[in-house]
Amino acid sequence: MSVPHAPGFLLLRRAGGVWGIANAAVSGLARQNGGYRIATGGGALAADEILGVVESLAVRPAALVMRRFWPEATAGLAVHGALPVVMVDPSRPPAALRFEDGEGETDEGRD
Amino acid sequence: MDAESTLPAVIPGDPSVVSGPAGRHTENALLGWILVVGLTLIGFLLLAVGSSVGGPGWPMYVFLALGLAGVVCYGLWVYPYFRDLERRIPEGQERWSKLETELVATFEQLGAGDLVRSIQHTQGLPEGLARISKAASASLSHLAQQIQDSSIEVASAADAVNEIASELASGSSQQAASVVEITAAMEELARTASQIAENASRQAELAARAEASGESGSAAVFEAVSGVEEVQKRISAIASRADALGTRSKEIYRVLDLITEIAQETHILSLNAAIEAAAAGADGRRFSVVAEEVRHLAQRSQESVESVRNLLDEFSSSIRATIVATEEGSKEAGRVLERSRAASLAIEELRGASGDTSRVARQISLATQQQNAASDEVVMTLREVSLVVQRMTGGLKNLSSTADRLNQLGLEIQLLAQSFHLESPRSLKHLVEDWARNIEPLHSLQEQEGALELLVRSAPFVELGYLMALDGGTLALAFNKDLLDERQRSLAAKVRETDVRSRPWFKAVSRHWRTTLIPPYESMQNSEACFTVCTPLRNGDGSIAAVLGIDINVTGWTRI
Amino acid sequence: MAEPVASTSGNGNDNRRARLEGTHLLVRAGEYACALPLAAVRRVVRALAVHPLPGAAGELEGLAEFGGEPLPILNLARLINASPGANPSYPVTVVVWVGPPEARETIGFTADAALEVVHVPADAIVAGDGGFLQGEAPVGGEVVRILNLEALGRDL
Repeated sequence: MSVPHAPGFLLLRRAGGVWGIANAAVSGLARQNGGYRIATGGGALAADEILGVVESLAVRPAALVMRRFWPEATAGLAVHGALPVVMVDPSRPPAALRFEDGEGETDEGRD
Repeated sequence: MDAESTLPAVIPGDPSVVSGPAGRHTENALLGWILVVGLTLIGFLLLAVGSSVGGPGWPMYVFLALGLAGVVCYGLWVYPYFRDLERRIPEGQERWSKLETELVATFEQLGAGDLVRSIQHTQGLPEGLARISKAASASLSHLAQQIQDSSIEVASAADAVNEIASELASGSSQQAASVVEITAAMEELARTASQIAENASRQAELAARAEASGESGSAAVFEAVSGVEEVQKRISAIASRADALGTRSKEIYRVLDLITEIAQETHILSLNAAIEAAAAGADGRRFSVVAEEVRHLAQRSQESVESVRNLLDEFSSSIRATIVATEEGSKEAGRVLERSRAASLAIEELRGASGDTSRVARQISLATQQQNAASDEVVMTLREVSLVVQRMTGGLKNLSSTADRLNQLGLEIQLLAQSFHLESPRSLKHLVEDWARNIEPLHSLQEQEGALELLVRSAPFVELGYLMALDGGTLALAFNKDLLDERQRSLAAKVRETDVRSRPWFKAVSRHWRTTLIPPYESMQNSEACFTVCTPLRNGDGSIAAVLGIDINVTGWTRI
Repeated sequence: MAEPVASTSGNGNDNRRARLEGTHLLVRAGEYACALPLAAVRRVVRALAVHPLPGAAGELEGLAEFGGEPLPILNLARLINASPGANPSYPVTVVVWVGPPEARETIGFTADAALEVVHVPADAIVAGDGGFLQGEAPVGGEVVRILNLEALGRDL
């Protein structure tokens, strides 16, 4: 399906964590292997669950201390409801959002 | 007139019978003629006197006529007859004497039982007499033969009867023994049945007592069951209350948890207050005191809660123990109830079984009493049977002795028959005389002994044959090895060392030097009863040379 | 999370730090008792719900939400290599400031219990490696690890 190029953020769950990505970076969304395939300009992201789309998020930069224990690139942290959200840099997605071996085959339509 | 009656009796050997030419017969005839004349005349005179006195005259004349006729006849026939007779008498007497001799010899032989020689002597007799004598001898011989055969048949029958009697006696003995055994077994059965009856009776009593005990036991168990049920109910009530207490303590625990949480929150709050107070500096000092107090309060609350929790833990533990105990008690009460019910059922079953046992025992007692009565009857019947068997055994013994007597009788009859010399191979006298004729011509002793052995072998019923000299010494001996064993033969051989002239058979044969049968006596060879037949051996001149004898055991006489 | 520098004045912070010099919050982390400088402690709360970060090191338990802000949560016992103690009856999250004063960041420490506020004289502290573990000092008969939260951002 196509995600409308609208402001706001797409919230998804992957590997137990809640992630957010700017809608503007999402070019496509498809079901895949029981999960989702989110097409971005640079590639594709895997999601276990799509939580929804929010209009705005108060994104803060991630603490340096945090990076010491989690060196992945991130676009910041936010909170939605009671859930902490890790914002995804589409150009440098964290390893958790990449597809695992054999997970990359699509089983639904294209964007 | 009985002419024969006037003839004198002829007595053999009576010399008075032989007389001269004018012998007595003639004298008697003359006297008779005179008597007839005399009587005629007397008769005539009397009749004449009678007629003279008025009687009829014709009897007188008739009498006279008859008298005269008698006188004439007497003179014509009687007197000549007697004269002729007197002439013939010596001839007759001579012939009679010869006849008498022959008859005497014949009857002598007959009297001695020698039916063979008796026939030989009939040759000199008149034909009719000879024929009759021969016929009589033959009849006697035949009779003797038949008697011999019959005696053997009697003996055989007696043996058969004896055998049967023995078998029957044996069977009766076995029967008697069996009856005794059966009687003993029946008596034992009766005793056993009595014991069974006694035991059954005791069993019935015990069953009755058990039944009674069962009733009281059943009542007791029923009370026990009721009591246990009551206890179970109370335990359940206690368990319910304990459960309720447990539930309350859980609520108290929840309250304590709540208080704990509040205390902990309060503690956190106090810490935060202390933090803020410390951050507030001097302005926050009082607040820090308050915060500290609050922290202490929270701590005390926590401690109190801990104390209460500990107490509640103990209480809960007691409650749990009580609950466990009541549960255990309830279970145990349940088990006891179960067992009590089972015991009650068992007692009921036992009562039922006791009743059945009692009934069965009574039936057994009755049945054994009946069995006892039947056993008694059987024993009585068996005793009667035993008596009958005993009587039968006695009867059989009598039969056996009767058979023995019959056998003995047969032997006596056989011996009686054997006392006749018959021309028959079954006649022992004939046999031994035949043997004597075979041995007499032999000259040497060895030949005679050999011949004797052959002869003994040919007669399986002869136990021993012997040839004895007139001086009592033994010339030859021949044994039947089938009838005499070595010991008996050696005993018999001892006769060589004895003088046999004292033996009964030698004495008997030497009395008249004719073939003799000696009745049973004890033999030398085996001390058993045997009888002997012996005969004299003669030389060529007819003189006695020796005595030949054979011994026959009385047990083997039927083999003749 | 990094706080805006303008939220608290630098002088205010200095004053706070001066007032709170030697004052520590005593917490239980595993087998050890740790003293956190009270000036760095923002709040003590009941243990927050932590959402794990995939691929993070063991010391970083994850992210929590505190006051509408995302809060990285570190396990204090693992940070100081403490063995696990008894099961905590009331675990807490201590919200602290870490890093140098000019670049403080707010994070949370998970601890087994928050005990009390104590004062530890500087001369009682036996110096440690000079970094996160400032040293050790006896407090209430127990050896307490004195932590330097300002050094956390530098050292680990």
